[in-house]
Amino acid sequence: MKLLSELARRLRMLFARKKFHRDLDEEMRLHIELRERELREAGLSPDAAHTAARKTFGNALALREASHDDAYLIIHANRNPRVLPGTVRDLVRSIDPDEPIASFETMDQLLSRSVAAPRLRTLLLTAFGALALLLALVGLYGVVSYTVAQRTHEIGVRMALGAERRTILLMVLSYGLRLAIAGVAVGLVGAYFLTRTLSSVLYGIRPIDPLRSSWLPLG
Amino acid sequence: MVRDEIPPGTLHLLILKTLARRGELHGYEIARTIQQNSEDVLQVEEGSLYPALQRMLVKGWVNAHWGATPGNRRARYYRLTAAGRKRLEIELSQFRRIVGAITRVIQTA
Repeated sequence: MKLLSELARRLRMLFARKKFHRDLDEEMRLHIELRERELREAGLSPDAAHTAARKTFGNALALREASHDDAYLIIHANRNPRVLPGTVRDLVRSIDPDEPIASFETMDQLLSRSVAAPRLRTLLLTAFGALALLLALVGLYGVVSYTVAQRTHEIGVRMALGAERRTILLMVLSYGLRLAIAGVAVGLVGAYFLTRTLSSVLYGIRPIDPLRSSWLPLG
Repeated sequence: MVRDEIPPGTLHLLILKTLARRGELHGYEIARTIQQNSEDVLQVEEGSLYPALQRMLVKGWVNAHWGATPGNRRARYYRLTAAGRKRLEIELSQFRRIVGAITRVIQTA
């Protein structure tokens, strides 16, 4: 129960600090209220009295209003995280029954919540990339098969003159490969300019990173 | 009307003296009393009054408890402790010594 006693100690410190600030807030609120009333009785308009009374507090007040009363507690424990909330809730209630607890979350949940948006963006990008790759493949297939169909006559003549199967195959494939290389070249140039605009959604990849961004031109 | 800020280091003295004379006061009453007793010359900065009161609480010169104002609002009332009374004597003699010294310097000049 070493963890629990340490937790109780920290909670007591936390609650003491919160109480200190709550008390100070209440003191300052009363002060402002009394000052405001006094200024109104001295003949100031309610608005002017309100502003003047708050102005004397200046930074102290602004500072307090900016800071929230919320606190987060990260508990590192080697017990079942599902029973921990109940234990902590009981502990908090035993120290200060008026202290509300907003929610419990495991570190995994917190982590997955924090990366949910970038993960969705990456998923969308990948899906679009895959779709583009598929379209490119279908297009390439269409162009090559159309060319072969057009050159059936020429291929027949070449084979009649003694060209081997291998040579013909190489000819057709190298044509397809030339098209693909030209596509990659155009794609790389395009990616060079486009990744700059994408840099806000790309995490951990520099805008100009040919190796890792090359999946873009491939698509 | 010209209002002067409280010289550094004398706020504790003024608070201690005010509490010694008036007994139990909340923050606003302390500020009002200092201002009135100085015939409106000294203006207590709220931004430094409450931190000063907190420091004095920690040092044990005053103690505090929550009570109700005549207007039935919750307020923290401060009261001098024995240590605070002793401290008041120290700060008073220190202040008199310094003022006396400054006066002598000014008069010789």
